[in-house]
Amino acid sequence: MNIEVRLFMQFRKYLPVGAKENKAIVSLKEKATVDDLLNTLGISEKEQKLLVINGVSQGASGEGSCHALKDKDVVLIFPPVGGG
Amino acid sequence: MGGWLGKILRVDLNSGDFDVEDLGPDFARKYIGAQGTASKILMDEIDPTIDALSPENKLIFSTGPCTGTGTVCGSRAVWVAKSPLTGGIAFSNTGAYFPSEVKFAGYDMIIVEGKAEEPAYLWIHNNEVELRSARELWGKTVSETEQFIRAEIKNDLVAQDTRIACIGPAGENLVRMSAIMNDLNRAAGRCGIGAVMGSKNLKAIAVRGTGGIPIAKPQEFQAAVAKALAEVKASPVASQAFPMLGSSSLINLYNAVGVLPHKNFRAMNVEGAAKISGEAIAEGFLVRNRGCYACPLACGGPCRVTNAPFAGKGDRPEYETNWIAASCGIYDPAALLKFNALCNELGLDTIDTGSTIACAMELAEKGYLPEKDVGLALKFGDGEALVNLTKQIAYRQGFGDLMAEGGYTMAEKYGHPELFIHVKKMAWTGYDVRNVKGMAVNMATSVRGACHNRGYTPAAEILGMPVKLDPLTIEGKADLVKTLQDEIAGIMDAGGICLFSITGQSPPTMFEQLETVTGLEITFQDAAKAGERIWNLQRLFNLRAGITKEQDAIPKRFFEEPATDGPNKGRALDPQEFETMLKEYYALRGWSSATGYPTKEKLLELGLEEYVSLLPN
Repeated sequence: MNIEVRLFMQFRKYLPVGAKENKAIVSLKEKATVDDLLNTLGISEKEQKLLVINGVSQGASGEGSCHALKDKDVVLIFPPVGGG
Repeated sequence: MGGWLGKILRVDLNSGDFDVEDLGPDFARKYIGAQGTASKILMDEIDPTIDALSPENKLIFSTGPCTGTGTVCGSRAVWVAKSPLTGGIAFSNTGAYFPSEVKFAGYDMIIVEGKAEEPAYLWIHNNEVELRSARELWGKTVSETEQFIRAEIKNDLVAQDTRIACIGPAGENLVRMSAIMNDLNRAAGRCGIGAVMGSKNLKAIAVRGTGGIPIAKPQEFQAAVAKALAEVKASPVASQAFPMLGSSSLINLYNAVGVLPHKNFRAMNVEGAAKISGEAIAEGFLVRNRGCYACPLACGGPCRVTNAPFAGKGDRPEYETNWIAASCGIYDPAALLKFNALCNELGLDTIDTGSTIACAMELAEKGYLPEKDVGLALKFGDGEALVNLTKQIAYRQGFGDLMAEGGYTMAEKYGHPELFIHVKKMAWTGYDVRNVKGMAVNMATSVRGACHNRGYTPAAEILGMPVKLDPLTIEGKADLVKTLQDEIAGIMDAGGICLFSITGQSPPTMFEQLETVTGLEITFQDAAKAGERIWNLQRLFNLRAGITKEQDAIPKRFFEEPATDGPNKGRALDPQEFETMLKEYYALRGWSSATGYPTKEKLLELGLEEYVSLLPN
């Protein structure tokens, strides 16, 4: 299945070759999880991140990494941010 | 006790006389400081029904006990008065260096009364206080005012270290969304506080202070500061996102989750948002980052635009200014930076100014606002129009004269007040609440009009701080709003600590600094209780000023027009759910659902017995 990823701020360094702006399509095996996606991109578990899966924020404590993905899901990877 | 200097400077502009009064320890204990102490004075000294632009209004500048002490992010103070925008209580916070300098000069508060016969500015150099002529300053912009005042100070070293708060042309022209600026580009923007200063013929306050601030428990305080700094360092938001991207690090995230308002709250997720994001500004325009007094976050900094038509210098905009560009459908970072720089230079609140323009764009698009009235074919996406109308508002030229009365008055004149998105006539801030339910209650109940600051539920509902809550549920949200409102009012706002620092240091750590600075023998719960006391006092002021419980309401748009795009497409806020949360909030607050007033029991519990006689029968 194909997952669309968008990487922000310092995570852009993990963009695969050939990515346009901050977006890339990543091919994964069926039943892959967000953790598998992070592994494929080379993003360590230790790096704090805020995941948005199909427009839903998972929070800044690394929640969402076990989320099972399906074809055409969109995963955004931010570092923790704040403001307002 | 420490933190406080125990002195209030009271200036009578009618006579030019001034007095120094004592700030009693019991008063400080009960109201902590900043907007707590100032709200109490405003409530007791003015009739809430007066015209906000009359000499009877009082303008109070009030610091907190942590301001200027080295408390982490303890740079803040507040301006308090009756608001010419909402008719209720105005409080508008600011940071940078002016607030701390007022304390170094020896004062916790400055109360300005009456009206000067001719334009004047106040010069304070420790004990030396003088009202000087501002005849030659009237009409000058913020940076010109700074330059002029510095040039008038004979001693160069004093001139260099003087800190200045002033109004621009907008405040002079009594524009109801005008700001008081300090240190050139920090704005006490909201509630039209600049117009109150303008109505008093007061152009500026310039301060130089060389005194210290006593600390009650110096060793314990030092340990508390070290703990706070360690917490900030360990937080990726406070130690990385803020210095790199400022508060607008949120633009891309909020756009992605469908919370960023576009086109006057009619779109939530637009690809172009990336162009006006914190990343775009930092990478394309930021020269370097810069912080306020005692701030390791350093979220501000100068920006430069080199290309026409918006070439020029300015400061890094806050999230609350970036989103205005989206609300006007403008995805041009140069136009955004020009708008921000102009608002700072002319002394305008970016939120109400930009939201009034976004509303005019919608009125024009729908055919309610004739082209001949505005003088141009107004449409979303026009950066030049945003810049030109901003100037017209500040100088009350052409259509700007009506806009300067506030977005609500403008929209009402054209028969569609519902198109101005506001609470209590103050423009809504950068959050689409169709799908962030806690925030809907916070906005409705915000005492100064639409304001995200105190009950910032998106921290939990979107960012997951301190824990992640589902933004689509209503359970527990009223309680979350009340808890945040009270803790932030009592510890951060009243203490003089910047709200952004909550992304690093925890409220108990802030409290530890407040407690060791002051030597107040109170608990965290006591400080939160002081916050509740302040909240109720401000609420009473509003009720007495004629702002009723019916104004604890949010725009119909959020109920009647479902989200048009993004992850929440098709969803709108359910009016029943909103009513349920509001009812729960009133019950938690101890407010009557019939009158909106606090109950007698609540006032007694909070030690506000002197106001029981104001309650309706």
